Amino acid sequence: MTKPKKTLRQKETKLKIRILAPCSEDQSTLERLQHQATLISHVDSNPSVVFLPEGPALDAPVHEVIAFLPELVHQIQAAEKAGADAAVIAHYLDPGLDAARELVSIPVIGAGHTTFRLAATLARHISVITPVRSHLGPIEDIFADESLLNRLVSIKLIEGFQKDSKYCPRSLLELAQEAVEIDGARLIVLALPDYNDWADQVKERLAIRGNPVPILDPVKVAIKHAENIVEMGMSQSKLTYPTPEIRIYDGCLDF
Amino acid sequence: MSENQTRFQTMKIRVIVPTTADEHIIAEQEKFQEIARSDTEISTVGLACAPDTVENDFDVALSLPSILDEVRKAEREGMQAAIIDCMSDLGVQAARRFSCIPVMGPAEASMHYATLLSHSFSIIGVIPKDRVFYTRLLRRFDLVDRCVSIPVVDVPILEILESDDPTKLVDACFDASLKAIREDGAAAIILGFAGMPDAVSSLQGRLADSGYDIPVIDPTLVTLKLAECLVDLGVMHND
Repeated sequence: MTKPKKTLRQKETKLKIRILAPCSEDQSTLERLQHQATLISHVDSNPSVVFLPEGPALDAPVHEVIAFLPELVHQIQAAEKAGADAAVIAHYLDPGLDAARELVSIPVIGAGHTTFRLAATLARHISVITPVRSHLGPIEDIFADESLLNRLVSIKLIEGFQKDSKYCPRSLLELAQEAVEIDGARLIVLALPDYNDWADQVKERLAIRGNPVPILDPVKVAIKHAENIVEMGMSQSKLTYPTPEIRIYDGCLDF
Repeated sequence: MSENQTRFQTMKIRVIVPTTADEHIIAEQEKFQEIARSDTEISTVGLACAPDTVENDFDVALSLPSILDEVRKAEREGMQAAIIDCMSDLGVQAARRFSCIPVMGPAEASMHYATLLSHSFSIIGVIPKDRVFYTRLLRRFDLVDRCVSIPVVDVPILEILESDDPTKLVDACFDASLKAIREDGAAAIILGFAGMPDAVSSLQGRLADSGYDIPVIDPTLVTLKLAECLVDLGVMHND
């Protein structure tokens, strides 16, 4: 019998999870994301956060994020070269996910696909809440990619969302309530681009109103899955994501 | 789930093995504890009154009452999640109707990870009835279009599990996997039997040597990891 190639990770070593925020760095965003990563990562895990130099705003429309895809994929390759065990793309639209999965061998986890898939294992009727109007369509596209449109009961838009607010906006709580009571959602995904940790507050508010539903935060879900997949010694299929041939051209990054 | 609970407290997970055979229950306890995180504590129980194995719908009907009793007991005893250790996800949906803790089954967890890591997968069954069990579950999870085939290997699985020599099983699964990859378009393989980590890594190695670097899903492993994940996230099913 062939000697096993992959084995379970040794528990003595810490998992190195690189979390890539596909946006330009600012101190408050960094602190929020690091706080979230620290909260959710388990005792055997050591997450680190990187940003895109000169990157887009986190709530930028998709066409603006696309301009940064080469840099984003390059960052994930750099994470692999630096010894990361897995990379997480900390954005619910999963920019660059498929390209990065082709380029590297370490698992690359997208917050969007992973969370929407997990949502479908937890509930039949899912609602997503986001403050970015231009993200409504792309979120629906991910559900379509995953053949999950029949589970999606609503994508709700928070109007007048303040990015750096310290308090969970009332409009978010009201929309969550509406998603459950009117749309029939049995689970809510918070597609918020600013890494505020409001899932618990929303969950508590709904529970007080007699609507105890699970609330998923995509970045937390992605970090947990990255840890799990590394621990299990798995990665993305190279039949789905075959390693590409690197072609050199003017202005090409050094892949 | 609070920060401290996530990072410092022990997570308690109950594994319910749908069998009355003590040696099988003890073996499962060892396998799960081996792959659990350092902060996870596994306790394994069998069934007081059920067939030795679950091979058809009649066995399912006979086993279900005891399984649901064990889920209730797990809740009462302060477990944070329960795993029903049977590839047909026996009783999982029913248990979720009343349970206040996450209840996980290997088939759903395996399909979840296979879907995350690939665009298509095959499930290798060990008895013909497996095709029926898996097809029902694929429909329920909206994953019919992701599963390209359910080949069944003709090997005496119970004898192999007891002998602890997976060579014959790996050979059969390797042949079935190659066929699933080359002819059906599978990009990941789910093994329809649990508790043989050596067989999983050996099969993954042989496939990689043949040019197919793809995930081979160990149902025992992914079920435990997904259960740990749900407890960490502080979420559970809501249907």
